[in-house]
Amino acid sequence: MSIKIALAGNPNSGKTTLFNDLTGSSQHVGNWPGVTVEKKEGRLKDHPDVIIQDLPGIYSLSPYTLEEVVSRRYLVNEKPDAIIDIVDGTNIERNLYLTTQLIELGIPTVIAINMIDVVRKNGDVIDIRKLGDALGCEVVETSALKGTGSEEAAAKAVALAKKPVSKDAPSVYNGSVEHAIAHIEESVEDLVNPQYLRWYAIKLFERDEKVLEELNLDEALKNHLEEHITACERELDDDAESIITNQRYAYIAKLVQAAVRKKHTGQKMSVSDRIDRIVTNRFLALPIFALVMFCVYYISISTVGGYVTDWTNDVLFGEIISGNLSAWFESIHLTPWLSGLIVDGMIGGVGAVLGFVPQMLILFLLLSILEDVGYMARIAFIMDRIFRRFGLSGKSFIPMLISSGCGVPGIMASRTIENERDRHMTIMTTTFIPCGAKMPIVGMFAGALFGNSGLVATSAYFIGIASVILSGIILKKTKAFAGEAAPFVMELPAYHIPSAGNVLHSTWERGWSFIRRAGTVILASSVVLWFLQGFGFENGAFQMVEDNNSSLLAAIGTVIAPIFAPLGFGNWKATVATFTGLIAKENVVSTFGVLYGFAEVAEEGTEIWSKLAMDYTRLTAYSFMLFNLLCAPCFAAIGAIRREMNNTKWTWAAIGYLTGYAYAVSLVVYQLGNWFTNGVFGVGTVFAIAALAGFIYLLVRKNKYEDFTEYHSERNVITNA
Amino acid sequence: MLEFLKQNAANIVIGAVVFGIFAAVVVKLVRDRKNHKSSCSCECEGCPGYKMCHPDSDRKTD
Amino acid sequence: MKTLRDVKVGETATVRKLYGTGAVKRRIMDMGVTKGASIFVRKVAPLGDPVEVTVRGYELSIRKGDAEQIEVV
Repeated sequence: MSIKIALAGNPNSGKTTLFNDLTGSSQHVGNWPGVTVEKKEGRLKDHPDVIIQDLPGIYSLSPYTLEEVVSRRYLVNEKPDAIIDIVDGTNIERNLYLTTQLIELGIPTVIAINMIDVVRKNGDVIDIRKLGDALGCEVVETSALKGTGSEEAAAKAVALAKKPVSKDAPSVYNGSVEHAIAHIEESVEDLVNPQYLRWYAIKLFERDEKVLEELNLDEALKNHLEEHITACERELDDDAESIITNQRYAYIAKLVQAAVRKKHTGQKMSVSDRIDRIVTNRFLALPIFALVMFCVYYISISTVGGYVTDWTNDVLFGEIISGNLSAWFESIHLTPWLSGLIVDGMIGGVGAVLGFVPQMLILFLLLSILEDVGYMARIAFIMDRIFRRFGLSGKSFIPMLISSGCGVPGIMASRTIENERDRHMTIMTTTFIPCGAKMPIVGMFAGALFGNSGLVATSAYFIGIASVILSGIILKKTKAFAGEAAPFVMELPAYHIPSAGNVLHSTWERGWSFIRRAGTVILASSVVLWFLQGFGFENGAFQMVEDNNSSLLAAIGTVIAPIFAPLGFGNWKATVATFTGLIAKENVVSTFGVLYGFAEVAEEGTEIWSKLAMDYTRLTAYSFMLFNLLCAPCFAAIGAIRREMNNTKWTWAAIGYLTGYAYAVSLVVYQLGNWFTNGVFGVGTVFAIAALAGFIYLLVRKNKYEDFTEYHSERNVITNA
Repeated sequence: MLEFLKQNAANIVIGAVVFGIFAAVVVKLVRDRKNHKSSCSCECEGCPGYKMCHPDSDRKTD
Repeated sequence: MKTLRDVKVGETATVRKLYGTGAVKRRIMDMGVTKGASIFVRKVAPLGDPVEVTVRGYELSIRKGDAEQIEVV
């Protein structure tokens, strides 16, 4: 018979580190049934008969969020033999709030005061014996970071599980509340498991909707309970739920005063606050953000990155690799098609992408630094107000931050958004933010047509953000997404010096995955592509073609190309490149590399992208770039969307929306740009104006779902009962 | 037959190498897909947004 | 009625009463903002929203809309 020990605690309390400490590699991760909340369990090291069940980080056992409901259900239905409650020692009052609730469950509990090293560093002192005596639990000091105390906590929990010791529960509530609770206990004692009688009674006192649903009491009983509750409410002049919460905290405040001695009262402005005074200032915050992002892109693409990339493309791949390889191949009389495949296909394709590695690395490095310093969290804080004005919550911004690396984890990060509609909207729009794979596209055009300008990249980034916001506005006015944005109450971490280890590690991670993709997916795609563009019907016979305009690929591409004509790039090469982008966005670059004879040109010594530049004007290039940045993401991301949406209809809707939006934007940019700069006014321009008008209408029309607020936001906090 | 091999030795060897690389890549991709490993190395450790998805952990940031 | 929204950066206020209903009010209370709690306003985001405060020894962000539901003295 296995022993089950539950691990509970606030988010950020160090629970995961403790869990890892206790279970080592024997973890099993899944989902709680029916919900997108992660379920982790494992066996205690050296105790194969003890299961440690990690519960989601929660602040309370209220019935309002998925995590809390899932935890409650586990604790009440699965009846673990013991609980290890992790309390963040540096945030003890708020953490003990959950503790008081856990104790009421009547399950033997061990309290682990974590981060004790930080507590000591701050000069605070916690009297764990006083704490333990008052709460009726064993208290252990732990430092998950330093690795001390976890074994002791587990040992005590196991001992309690084997031989429960019943100590006095703390008296948290005052007379009248206890009185009411006692009455409730009396009334429902036959209806619930005696071990949880008190817990149920307190929940009933709070009018907990989940408990009421579960117990399904008859009218008479409900009215009886209601009498007691209302009497108490009248006496204390507050509602039942607030009464319980207030009294818990009042109790905790007294307890902490007796058992904890703090060195500072902590109500002064820290260094972080002083920095934030400027960085999150009402007027300066957004311009500062724009400037910071511009600098990031300027450094990575225009200056350092641009210079190195130019060298990599021209010299490394051009002269050194392609040049020498072709020469060698010639000398050993390799058949031309094989030589062509290797040099023009593989090296041409992969080389084109790898040429951007220097820029990418610098970009990733700068972004990692910003993230590690804590600046990016500030952005979510700043953006929250703007986002909410348009129906999104600041919580939606976090997946977008992650998407600037790769869209897939960004999409997965949307799980933290409880509100279903917000989550859908975030999943749908998060790929507007240019991911790492899309940056070479920007870099390529920036280099070929815009002189490696940093503005091109910055504009792409902000157009992405703008698209998210505009989409939010538009979608919020449709039935499927209407409603108030979900509550967003979060903790802001302090700024800190970026850790070189973390920064280098994440830069390397992203950089290496970029290179790895180049060597696999891009390589394979380039090979296939090379064959398709190298063979075709020339002079009536199927053979290897000299000019790839007569190739098989060109034939297919030319058929589809017209749909892109209104956007300014209705040629087969652009069409093919866009489609290969579905496999991986870097393919757009590698495809161009193959189709424009990247390797060949490199040999001749002319500028790498000059052939490409000949086929595009600045306007058509920008239009093409926008389309590829905003349209449907790569298959991997589409797969992630499907997994998170869990619904084929929604997935198609997302892809359709993204592509349609991209098409409209490119259409407007190209057609109106063409009109203003070249005076060309035609059917296309008319459509573009119509599209723009439609867009503006969708943006400013009255939201007839404005009144859906209260109802929807409450119902959508939990989507599964 | 031997003549053919001798004449095209270079082609065959290099052809085999290219084919080998291509096959290896395809096999790896298929295997990755089967193991549900995404092609963008989305194991969470490297991502700076780690704290957002896993607020529980107290990964060393100080 | 003075609410948390009216408190300036650097000032401290004590919670007098919480208005509002349901999940949001509960969440705010769960986080420690209860009757009698002392709140120190550390910073206010652009456009006045959200507000960052210190309560019960830690930092918390509260939206302007929610701050308006917290009556203080």
